[in-house]
Amino acid sequence: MGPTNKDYIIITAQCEDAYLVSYFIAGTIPLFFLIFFVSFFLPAKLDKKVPPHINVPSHISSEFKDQNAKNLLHNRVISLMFALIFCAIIYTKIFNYYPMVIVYNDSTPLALDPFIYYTLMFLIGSFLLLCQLVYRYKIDLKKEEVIYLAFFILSALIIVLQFNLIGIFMCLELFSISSYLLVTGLGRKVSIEAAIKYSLTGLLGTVFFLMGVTFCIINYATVNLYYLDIFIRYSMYDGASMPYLAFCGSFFLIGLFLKLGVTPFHFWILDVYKGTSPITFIWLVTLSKVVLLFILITLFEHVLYDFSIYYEYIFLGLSVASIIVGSVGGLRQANLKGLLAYSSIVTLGFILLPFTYYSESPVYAITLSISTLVVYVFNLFSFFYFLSKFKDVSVIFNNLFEIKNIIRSNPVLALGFVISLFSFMGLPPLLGFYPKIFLLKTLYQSGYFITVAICIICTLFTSFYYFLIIKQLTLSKTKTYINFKQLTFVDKIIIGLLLFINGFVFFFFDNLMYFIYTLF
Amino acid sequence: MNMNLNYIFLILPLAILFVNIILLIFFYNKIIVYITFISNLIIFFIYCILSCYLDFSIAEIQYKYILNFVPAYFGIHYLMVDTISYFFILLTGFLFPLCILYIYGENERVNKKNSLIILLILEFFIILCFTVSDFFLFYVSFEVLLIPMIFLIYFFGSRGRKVHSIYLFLFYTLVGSIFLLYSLLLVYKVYGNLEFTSVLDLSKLSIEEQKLLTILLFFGFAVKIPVFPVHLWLPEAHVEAPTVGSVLLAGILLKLGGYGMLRLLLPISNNILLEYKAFFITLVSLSILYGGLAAIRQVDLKKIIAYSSVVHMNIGLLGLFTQTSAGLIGFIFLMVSHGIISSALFFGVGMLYERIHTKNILYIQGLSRVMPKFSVFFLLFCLANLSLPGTCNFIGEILVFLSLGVENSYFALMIGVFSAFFCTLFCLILIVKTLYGQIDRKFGVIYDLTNAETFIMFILFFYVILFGLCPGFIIQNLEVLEYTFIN
Repeated sequence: MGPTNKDYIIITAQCEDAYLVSYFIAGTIPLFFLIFFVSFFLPAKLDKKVPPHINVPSHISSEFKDQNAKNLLHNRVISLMFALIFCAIIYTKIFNYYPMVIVYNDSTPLALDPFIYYTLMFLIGSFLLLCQLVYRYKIDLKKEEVIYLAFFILSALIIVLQFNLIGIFMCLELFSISSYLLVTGLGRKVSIEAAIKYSLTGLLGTVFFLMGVTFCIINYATVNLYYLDIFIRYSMYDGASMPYLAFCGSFFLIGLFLKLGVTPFHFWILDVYKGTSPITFIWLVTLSKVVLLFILITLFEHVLYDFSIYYEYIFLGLSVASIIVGSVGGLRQANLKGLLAYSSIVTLGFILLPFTYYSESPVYAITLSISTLVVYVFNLFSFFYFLSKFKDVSVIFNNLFEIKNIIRSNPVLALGFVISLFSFMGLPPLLGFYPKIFLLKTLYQSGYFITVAICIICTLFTSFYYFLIIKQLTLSKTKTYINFKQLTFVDKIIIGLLLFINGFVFFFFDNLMYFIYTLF
Repeated sequence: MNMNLNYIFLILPLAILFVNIILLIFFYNKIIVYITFISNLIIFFIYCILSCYLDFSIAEIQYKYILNFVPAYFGIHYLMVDTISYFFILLTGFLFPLCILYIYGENERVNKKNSLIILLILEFFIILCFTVSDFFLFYVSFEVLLIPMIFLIYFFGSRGRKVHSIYLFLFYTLVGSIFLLYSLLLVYKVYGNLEFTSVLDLSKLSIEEQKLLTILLFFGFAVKIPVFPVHLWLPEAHVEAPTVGSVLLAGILLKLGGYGMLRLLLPISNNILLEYKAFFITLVSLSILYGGLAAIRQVDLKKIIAYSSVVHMNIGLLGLFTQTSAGLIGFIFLMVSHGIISSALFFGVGMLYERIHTKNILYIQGLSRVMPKFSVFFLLFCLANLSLPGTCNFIGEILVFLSLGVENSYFALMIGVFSAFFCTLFCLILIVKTLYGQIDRKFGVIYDLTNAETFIMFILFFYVILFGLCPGFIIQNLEVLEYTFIN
């Protein structure tokens, strides 16, 4: 329950275990290597192979660019994946020796505990999948983009390890900047506009976050989460100052809400997502939420724990508002990116809704929130994986009605699509249903009757627009030409696995919830 | 309770179906197709044997099997069978072998593998629906049925308005499931579990909660019955669905709504139904009148039968809302008989469609000259549909009207009896327009029923007459309802 149960081993520079610090740093070294390697050596060799007389206009989308860059892309992505696997091995080794550890306690501590470790593993796994998707979508990345991606990965991995607010703030800033730059992509006008919008809102969010950190320094005279834990553990607050502290803490929330795109701050999300290239869109829509939710949970666990009761109605109002806005707004979307943007707003509402009863049962609330997110990310990955089998992906991403009927020509792929979309809809035996039903059950038992009613009605709207994609895939008029790549044996196995998980999760979803529950 | 019998009656049918689905998916050949038919027959026989072991004089759960491998999301889940669910299971077990037999005789163009797989998945979840003991699993299997049903309509449907009908079918059902989900959460909050038996004890529910639940459950299940404002999906889905799909839709899927009302709405609304009775009965009477009037206007054979099933299911609902023993028995009897008769009519229309490729009543005439066997059966089933004395529909309707008379609901009684006139009218239209007159030469050579089709029609007609002449088979076994639901 909360921060009180955690007993960390603390390692400072004077300890005999101090060499552990080098392990921590070593975890991130391969990524640095990669950045230098990729940016300075690889492109220089391969760029010479491009024939000089082919002059590709820069505004044409990346799929139609020079085919020679494919080899280069392959190398870059493979090296990124190796670096990620190397990181995973190193962190697993550290975790096996020291399951609960803080290093450099006084200045800028880093920490590793089961929750942090499994978040890291989840992030690394997602990054591996995303690299695989980059390769599958056959998109040519410029050398700058690879650097942005590497920084994106690097900052996401380091944020998780930080055990102090300044470190979190700095890594979050690095993370955000690399994502603004990712949005610019090939420098189309729309992309630049999107990047400017994204960076303005993101910077505003950063300012609010920094305000929160400043207030934290003023009030507690520390940014070290371990010392803040001690504040909570011994309840060193003056009772009268609680509302003031809650007010100061709310700056963190506003900053994160701006970056997440929760409803009153959601207006940037549509333009930004529409302006990006497909692969950047996939990176943003899946992973920025994971990192930001991790920060939110960390803050709640270490800083806002005692006055989380003050935020009850903020979370209730904002999440219900985003559920309504996301579900109603997506109804008239003909753009697949816009539709998924609205669906991400809805999911954000469902992710933040458990925080309304954080003060009653903190661990269960976080468990529900995380399981919603994990299920959403799983569904998105399976959807994008299936979508990578189409030949004209960038056209599909911009117009939903370009999705052609594939059910006669490729029924296996169609089945995979249909099951993953029904899972998005939350139809009962499938994966997407369980987080929703547990959340609604808990909310109903806490007495939020109207909220539950609104949520249930809004899921109907969302199911309407998810069914639009199903309709395009399976029920629209059959075209004779084949617009997808043939499935390999591995593809069929992966589709079977996804179907199995979706269909039979009924028998082990409580184990998943229990696993997340035990991390705290 | 004997442990082995629990396995045989509850797990064995599901296991047979599961193995059969896997066989069909991975090792499809002609022998497997025969095995599918035989396994369905075995399931039917298992349910027939169940009637010998079931004690119809007690209302409690008689055979139950605890599902250990399902996590206790909403209390412990188990499969069970008792007097109420028995008839629905038997109906399911009875109709599926006929459907599979019908698929054998169908045109070679139809992909039999896929349709058999979808059919067996449907059967699996329908059996699950009727045998689960709690609201949660009922809701889950109720919703799962959507996916195979959509694809049955899409793959094997007949015409161009498939997508429209799928939209209607899906979203009407989802709207209904909103109400069901909310009431599920409410019941779980009050009782701490979702078992159907725990709902019988009303002392925990406050009056307001009872009222709310009554409204929610009524509209949740009304979509499936279907009652007037939410009935539009039914004719569309029937018209677009293949023959087997229509048969299952009319024969079994509509009964899910009735079964849910028996299990949940009836016990929960027991004390306060008097307040809502007027509203419910008005809606139900409206849908009877509307269904009857709409059926007269239709030109599509399937739409006529679809609207007639709206009429009959709603007449049954009138019996439910009287809260008398006769009304309840009439409701169940009418559902069973409607399951037999309307599926027979849909089979008939399907057979006709295979021969002359139209369902439009204006093009069809004089069939009695070229298809004598078909004409006899079609005539008899149409007469059964208008509740001729001696057929099973008559018994059900009479029981319902009797209970209405006892309850002094003369207005509803008047509408019910009046609807019999419309029923007669559209059934006579069916008979006269299709069977009599001059045969049109443009249809070419029309063959009469094959042996398999004759067998299907005969076996259905046998049960129509059997239950019509000896209704005691069902009525005697249902008298226990009085002690469970009526205080």
